Amino acid sequence: MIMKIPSHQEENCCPPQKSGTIALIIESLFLLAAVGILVVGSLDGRQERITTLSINFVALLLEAMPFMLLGAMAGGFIEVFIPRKWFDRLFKGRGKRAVLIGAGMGIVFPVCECVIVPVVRRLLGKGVPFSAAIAYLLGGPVVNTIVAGSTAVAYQYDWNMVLMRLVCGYIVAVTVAFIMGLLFDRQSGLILARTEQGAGCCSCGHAKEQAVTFTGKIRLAVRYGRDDFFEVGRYLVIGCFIASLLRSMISISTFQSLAATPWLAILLMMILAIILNLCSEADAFIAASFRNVLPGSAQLAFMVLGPMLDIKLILMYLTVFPRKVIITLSILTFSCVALLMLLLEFWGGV
Amino acid sequence: MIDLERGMRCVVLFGWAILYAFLLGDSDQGSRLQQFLNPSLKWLIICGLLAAALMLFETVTDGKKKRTSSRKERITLLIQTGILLLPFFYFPLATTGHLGIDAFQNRFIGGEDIRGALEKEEQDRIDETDGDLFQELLKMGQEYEKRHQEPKKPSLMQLMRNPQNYEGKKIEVLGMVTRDEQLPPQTLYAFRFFINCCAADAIPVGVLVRYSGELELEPGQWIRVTGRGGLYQIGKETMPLIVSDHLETVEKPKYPYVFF
Repeated sequence: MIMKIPSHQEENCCPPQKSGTIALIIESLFLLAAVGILVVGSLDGRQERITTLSINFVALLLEAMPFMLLGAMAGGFIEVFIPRKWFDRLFKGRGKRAVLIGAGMGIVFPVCECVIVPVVRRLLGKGVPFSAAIAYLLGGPVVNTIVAGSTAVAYQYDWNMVLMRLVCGYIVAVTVAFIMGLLFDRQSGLILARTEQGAGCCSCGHAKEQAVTFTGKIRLAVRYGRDDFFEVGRYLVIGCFIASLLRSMISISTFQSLAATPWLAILLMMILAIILNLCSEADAFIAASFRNVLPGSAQLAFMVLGPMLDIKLILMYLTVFPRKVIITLSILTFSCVALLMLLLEFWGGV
Repeated sequence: MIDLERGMRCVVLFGWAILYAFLLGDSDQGSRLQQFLNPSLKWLIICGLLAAALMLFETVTDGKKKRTSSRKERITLLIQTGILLLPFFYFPLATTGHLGIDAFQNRFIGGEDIRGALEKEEQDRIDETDGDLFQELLKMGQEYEKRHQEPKKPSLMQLMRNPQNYEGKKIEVLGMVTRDEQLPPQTLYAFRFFINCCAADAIPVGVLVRYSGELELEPGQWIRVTGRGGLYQIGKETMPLIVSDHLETVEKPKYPYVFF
């Protein structure tokens, strides 16, 4: 049984997601372009390239969408089943230690980057401090037991590389979260609907529902998950499409031939990480294919930055943070990874 | 009044649930899942199916009425639904095709090294009569052949990972052909795509094939090569090489990709 707490907007609690006119125009243009590319490409004899694009796009989404659905559901279950006081006990009054905990939470809650945004949205709704949420957002998909396993397999159990990836991911997540915590707070750093209402039946949070029975709670969790999926899911589709398009057009060897110097290699691999939008559980295999071609620090840069910052993530961040926060977060994360990798490179390499 | 939002949500969730159920089945070409993902990720598809089905059930049985009042809201809803359904437009083409030469050219790593090494080697060409490598391989192959008549059939992944295990041995591989003007004459590269997670992260793995005589092969054509394995040193990398004594064109295999 699900009861709805009376609200000031009984009639229209969950309107369709409000999208500004500009966002609507951009989304419409994207849809037109994506369908247009398929039609025009199929007609003008670029069949093989369009086939490659189709396979990349469908495969990326087939892999990422279950993570997104599960992540949204996980967020829903956190919302319904984990009381706010549990998070208060974990984070409240811990100050900077909350950031240290947040950046390492992926060890206990291992999630990949496709899942992390809906989960963090719910955690923020539960009152998790802003900087700790940023730390988990960045650190979760890297400092993570599953990612450690896939990296170990990709690098043929080169534990040095696995350890370096986890440690560097943790350092970047903590550093960026601390700085973000100094620059923003919950009020200025989050989209208002997410900061206070704790996510009700929709992002507006007007009519927060409460379930009485266990079955009712399960249904409520599923409903929350579904709402999150419809709010964030389209950004995953847009991100995957852009990534597939770039992946079909840009040759990896272009980067290889340009990467004659270590600092340039690091920079180029970071750009490649943003463009390719690979899952944090698969990117190690791509990075490992650059062994004996590029310096270890460049491979590490690819594996540390990719799960924190890529096209689809930036689009999904739009559902949580205002634009100025996303820009700041992106610049800080990029700079921090670049700096750390350059330090590693010039202090003896990886 | 029609509940447009609920209707659109049902279409999206039903579509994704059906797609995942479809992928769990088999077609004439084998497992549908293997066209896109590593089969070990079947559990992920099942999870996706269950999650979509649960959300669909909740949407269908949700008694709450939602009104989509303004025209802008209705257009927004349609656009957002269209984006979530976009993969379905691309699915027919994706499911009938496979990664080929175009993807190979974008994803091959180390091409410049191989070309450079082969060009250098071209200057003191190894041929069937006077090359040390060839003579050595021939000798090892003949000795081995005395003991084993049937060729080994390692996967291209096995060859790439441990080429030394097949040095001098008679082996057979299946792969797609790519030829490059910068490769020396009578040399081609036979490759397949190795998928770790999904086809988007697939990378080509393959072997250099040295053959004799003239061959009319189209790029992307599937071939079966039988010959003696060897090693080819490029910088720090050791690449597998086959000196072919039999090469034939074949149909695209049921499972064109290789998996970890």
